[in-house]
Amino acid sequence: MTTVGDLAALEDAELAHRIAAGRGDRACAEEAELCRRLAPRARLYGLRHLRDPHAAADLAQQVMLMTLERLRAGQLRDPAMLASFVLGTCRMVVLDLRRTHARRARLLETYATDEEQATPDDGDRFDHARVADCLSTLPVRERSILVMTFYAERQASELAAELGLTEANVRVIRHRALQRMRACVEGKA
Amino acid sequence: MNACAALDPATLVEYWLGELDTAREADAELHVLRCGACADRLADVVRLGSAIRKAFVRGNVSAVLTPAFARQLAAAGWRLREYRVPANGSVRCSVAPDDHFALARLQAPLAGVERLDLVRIAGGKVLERLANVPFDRASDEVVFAPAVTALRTLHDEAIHVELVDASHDAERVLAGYDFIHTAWPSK
Repeated sequence: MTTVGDLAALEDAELAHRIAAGRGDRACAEEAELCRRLAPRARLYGLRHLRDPHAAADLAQQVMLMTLERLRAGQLRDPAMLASFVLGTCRMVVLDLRRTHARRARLLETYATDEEQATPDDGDRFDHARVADCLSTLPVRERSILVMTFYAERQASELAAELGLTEANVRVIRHRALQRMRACVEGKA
Repeated sequence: MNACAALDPATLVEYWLGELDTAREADAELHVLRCGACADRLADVVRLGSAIRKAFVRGNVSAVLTPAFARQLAAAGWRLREYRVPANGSVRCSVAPDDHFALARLQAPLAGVERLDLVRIAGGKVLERLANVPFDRASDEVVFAPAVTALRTLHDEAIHVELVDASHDAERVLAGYDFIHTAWPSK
């Protein structure tokens, strides 16, 4: 009997191969393991392209359903191409979800909130008081660039134009600031 | 578990912000879908970015913003209390319980300034010196957003702010600003 630990050691392609070769309930554990791995990655793709946690969750669900159906039907001939198939499916589903969620996004833009923010999951890995303390210890230039970047995922080119800096300069400041933030919130600084 | 060569942290941030060109973005996406460790690292970037945003919008940190960013905040529906103060001017100010941000819009001649420091003084003592603040010298304005949570703890108090041109060894005060703060009356 295959244990959860055994499955965790398998590569994605091997899991896909087992699901494709399985019949009935035999591949249930493999399917669950594949979903456990790929759904959060698909959700990240959704967050990046849709900037909406609900739309991203919808995307992850649809992509995993389509992926499992394709595997069960034996229509994914080369399991090594699993990631490429998932990426292609993500792209297709995003186009559809952009239309569905456009109205909701417009409403959110109208009514600003500090809670409705695209994050990978509902768990807060960071202590928010600690994050604020760490931000406050950064040099003001670094802190300000981080705030203006992550308030609405603004690119270096936008900030560079507003501050009379080069894009490269903004990226260097941002990178250094993030390194310091990580070290601080993880208690290494 | 798939083995992978880790994407560097800067690439993950650039991917999240949409700064990569089409080919590099596609490479990064395929990589993240294949590599659980890099997906976890990307998720951490996103969580940290979200935590930074929350700290700011909850009024827990101060920052120096651009005028364009201030307009973006207003357009998004946040309640801003703004004080536009001319060089060497003064203003009576406060912060209401429902204000999300208080902005001090300091007017100053910034042409030729390479490095600018912002100094806050109260009762003759320097409270804080913010060195090398970001600014656009073409705008002749510095937009300072103090932490609103800290402002709410102030009693009636006069705070003097100076913008100091620190481009050269011999510093010079570009302009001073007096903020006569009144605590919001409690019910």
